[in-house]
Amino acid sequence: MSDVALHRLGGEGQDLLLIHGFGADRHSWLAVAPQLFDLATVWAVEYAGHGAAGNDAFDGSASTIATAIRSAIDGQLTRPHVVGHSLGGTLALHLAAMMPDNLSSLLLLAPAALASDIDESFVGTIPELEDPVIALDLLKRLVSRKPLVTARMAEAMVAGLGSAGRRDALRCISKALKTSTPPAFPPPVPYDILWGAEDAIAFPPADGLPRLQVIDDVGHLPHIEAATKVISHLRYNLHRDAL
Amino acid sequence: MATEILVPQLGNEVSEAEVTEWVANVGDPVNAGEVVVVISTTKAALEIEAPCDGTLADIRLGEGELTEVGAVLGVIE
Repeated sequence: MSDVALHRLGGEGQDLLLIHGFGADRHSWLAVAPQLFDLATVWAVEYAGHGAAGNDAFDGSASTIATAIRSAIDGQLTRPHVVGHSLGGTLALHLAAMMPDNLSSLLLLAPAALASDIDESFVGTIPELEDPVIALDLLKRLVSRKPLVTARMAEAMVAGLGSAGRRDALRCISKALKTSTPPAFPPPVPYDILWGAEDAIAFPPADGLPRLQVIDDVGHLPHIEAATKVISHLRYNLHRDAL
Repeated sequence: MATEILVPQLGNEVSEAEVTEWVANVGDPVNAGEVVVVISTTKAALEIEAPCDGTLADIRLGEGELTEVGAVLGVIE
């Protein structure tokens, strides 16, 4: 079983589960999570090689990680709404296929599995980062508005790669991404997709997708660059369920 | 009437953040919902929107300064 760590971030109400992207962790939801504490019990899961999770990624595949997430939330969360960013979006789709009767909705933010193309050099470089200057250049590719990424973030990222086994876990997941079985689409639960028009990491599908909304002037991080829109979507879903 | 721009909730694990960028300058007209200032932790950035229409009258915390939940970043009149 692949390692995961489940965190209750705060709030009271329906369960909402946040799944971060490759190289991120639960803190990446800073702009979204606290704004939903009045409506939801907000949870964030971290998978192997990220945040407080251990470094055993097993085979590193998305389906294996999603299975581990399912085990972590089983009996703990009740029909959660799920938000997944990038690889987290892929994991959310796998999760929906595994437990369609036990999820309320999906909000997919630039889901990697549905991208027309992925910048594999980005994913491949993250586990090898040692120089904060190079890390800063890499991280700035995530956003449309470059000042949103700071040198402190790059330094923290490189420092976070220093623990034993962390880089190997990320390499394992990075390698498996190329061969992982894609999840079923459309998912068997209500869903919406948000994607930045300026995404330079996971390119939005050229021909569109059902329920896809492309947001101008936003890169790969809609939950940071279009946080208000993400929060609005989630508040709508949570309010609708509460009626 | 003056309206303060406040640091919003940051969650249970975050006690402080750094003012990264003032997008608006003192004297600029601003509209409700328009990003005026960005704060960040070592993990993520948070764009803070103007709470009302008006003019950015004062910046209380400049770029590079540390701030905490509920602090006044600036004032709109």
